[in-house]
Amino acid sequence: MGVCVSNLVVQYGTTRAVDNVSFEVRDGEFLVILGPSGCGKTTILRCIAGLVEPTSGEITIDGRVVNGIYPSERNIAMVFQNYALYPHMTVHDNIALNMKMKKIPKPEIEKRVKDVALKLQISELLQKKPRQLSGGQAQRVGLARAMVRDPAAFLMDEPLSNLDAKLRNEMRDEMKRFQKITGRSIVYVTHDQIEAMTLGDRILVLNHGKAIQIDEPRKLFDEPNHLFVAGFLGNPPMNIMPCDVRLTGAGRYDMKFGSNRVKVEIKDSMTPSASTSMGFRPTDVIISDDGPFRASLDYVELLGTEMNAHFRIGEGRFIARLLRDSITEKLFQTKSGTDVSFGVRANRIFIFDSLSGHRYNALLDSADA
Amino acid sequence: MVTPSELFRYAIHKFRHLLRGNGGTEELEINRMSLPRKLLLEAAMIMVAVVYVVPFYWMVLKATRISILANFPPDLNPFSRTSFNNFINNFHQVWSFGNFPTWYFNSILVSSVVVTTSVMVGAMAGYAFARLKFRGRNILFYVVLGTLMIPFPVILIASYVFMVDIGWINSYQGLILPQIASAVNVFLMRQYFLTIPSEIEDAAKIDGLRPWQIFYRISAPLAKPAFAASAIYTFIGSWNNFLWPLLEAQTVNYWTLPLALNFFKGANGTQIYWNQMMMADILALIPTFIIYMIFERYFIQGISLTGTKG
Ligand SMILES: Nc1ncnc2c1ncn2[C@@H]1O[C@H](COP(=O)(O)OP(=O)(O)O)[C@@H](O)[C@H]1O
Ligand SMILES: [Mg+2]
Repeated sequence: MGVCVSNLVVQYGTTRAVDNVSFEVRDGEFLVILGPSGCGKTTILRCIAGLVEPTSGEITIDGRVVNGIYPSERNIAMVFQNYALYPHMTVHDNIALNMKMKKIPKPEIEKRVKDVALKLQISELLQKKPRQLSGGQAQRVGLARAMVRDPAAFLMDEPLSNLDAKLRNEMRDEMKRFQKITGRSIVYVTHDQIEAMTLGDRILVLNHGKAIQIDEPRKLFDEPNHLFVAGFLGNPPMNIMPCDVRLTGAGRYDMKFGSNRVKVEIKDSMTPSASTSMGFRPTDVIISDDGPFRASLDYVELLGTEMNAHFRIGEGRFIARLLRDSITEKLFQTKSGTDVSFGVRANRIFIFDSLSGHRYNALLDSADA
Repeated sequence: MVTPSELFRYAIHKFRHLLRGNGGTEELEINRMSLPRKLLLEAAMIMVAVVYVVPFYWMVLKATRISILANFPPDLNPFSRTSFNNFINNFHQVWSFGNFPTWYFNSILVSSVVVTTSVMVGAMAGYAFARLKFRGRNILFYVVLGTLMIPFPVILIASYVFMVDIGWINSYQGLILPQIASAVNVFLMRQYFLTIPSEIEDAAKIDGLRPWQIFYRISAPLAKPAFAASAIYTFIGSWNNFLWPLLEAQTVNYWTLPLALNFFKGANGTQIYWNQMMMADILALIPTFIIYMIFERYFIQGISLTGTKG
């Protein structure tokens, strides 16, 4: 049941818009596809909808392979970023068109239109034309048009990104409610990580047409298995510091960044010559005189109850997101260029291969400056 | 200075005022102008109006004269009692002289068939070029565009010979068919369809419309302004077409109105009877005028759409 995409490839000339992507959307699951603009999110969605013919790969909806089947026969509904309402039809007719095409009897159509209009609070708008609607209202109509079909899955392509920030927050709650009242699978595309984190049961992170990681939001944030995910999620995202690596024993390595050294045990194999990076989240930095590392302070930004302290280590830079307390407050008085001692919360240092982006399964032994 | 575009919008504003007794609701720059600027604009408008109106006035005036000779002093009032009698007289002469009912019928038949088919063909071809993916689409489109570069007189003789060979001289199909193929309409329609977001058509596919239904239920209704513009331009072109009917219609029965006007020019040997000719002109203008009155809104829309305005 749900939606299953396997080995999907879409090639446009020399660009590979979707590169061998596989994932499954479980029945009733809210799956978010997250990635930067141009990474192939829309193309995946359009393949599921049947608007783009995949170069290769198989798409299954509700247990049925739908490759080559006309969009309306796939038992899906789609919601568009620009709403894509029919400008020359009333809201009522926009919602009713798909039922008219199916030759559903008129009284039944009226009943169902009324029903969804009530659920999405657009009953007053039924006789209006799309151009008379605000952005939020237009997208509600878009949702109603999708919902009235009662499909196996909803496909949503950045449905909130044309709305202003305040409305977007309201509509985000609306989307959650939408999932509850429909109880159907939702594939939701966005480039906004807050939307992805708050809405998704699971998130598929996409980059350059490749599926990078699919996981629950919490797992994705706490245990990114790829450099791209680490650098994409979080605001500010994870600090990535290039390291020099030296093999010291079986599976044991010395990693140096600036004058700082970390001894790690790596469970999977690593070539010592490979370029390696160390990552830690800005929120996991602890400023403390007995911290194992040293970095030179660049400048400090006040955010209110928190602050961003910018540091340099050699060529590298990183940010610490700190709560203001008696210790961190001193950084405001510290001169730029001064060395500061710091540590990173236990088990919150990640080791990545800089080229492939792969995260090593690493265990921290000790750290010192 | 008053710019041409201000002038144009003001002219339309004035014109609507004249036709409907209101100037529309849109806010015009003119309403916010200073007095000297307004006066300047008004003066410019009057001059433009004079340039346009004088020929019409002269046409009506000439149609109310008895002979080609000028009276002295000239009577410049076309609405006097004698003028009216002369007018009726000229009308009878002209009407009985030629076969106006047939010419009206021919002109209306040819123009209406040309307009409907040419616009439909243009819309469908334009839609195909804008939306459908098929082999050779771009090459074909450039070929269509290329025909825009060829002036009609260049292919005139070839077309004529072709018509002779297939025996279509003196026939309605011969009058109509060559006027249907219009690269302008194809191009105009294609450009307009390209401005419609393709997601609307995607939504229609998901809603269960097949490509043909998408065209006539969604895309075509949305392209109404483009339909209006190409219909108007095609109508003007076809109604005023002189060169092609001149070759094609070699008997009086297949003449259209422009040929009839030409006939009055030379009907009486070398002498040109201006009064009769102007009378015929008025008769030929009536249908155009009626059509303009009915579709005035679309004329203005069409002109604005194709960017002829300043
Ligand atoms: N119809 C198309 N023809 C050619 N290239 C396309 C087409 N649609 C998308 N692309 C390319 O495929 C890539 C992915 O596009 P898209 O799926 O729209 O990305 P996203 O939705 O993540 O921003 C982009 O590089 C885009 O330029
Ligand atoms: Mg997109």
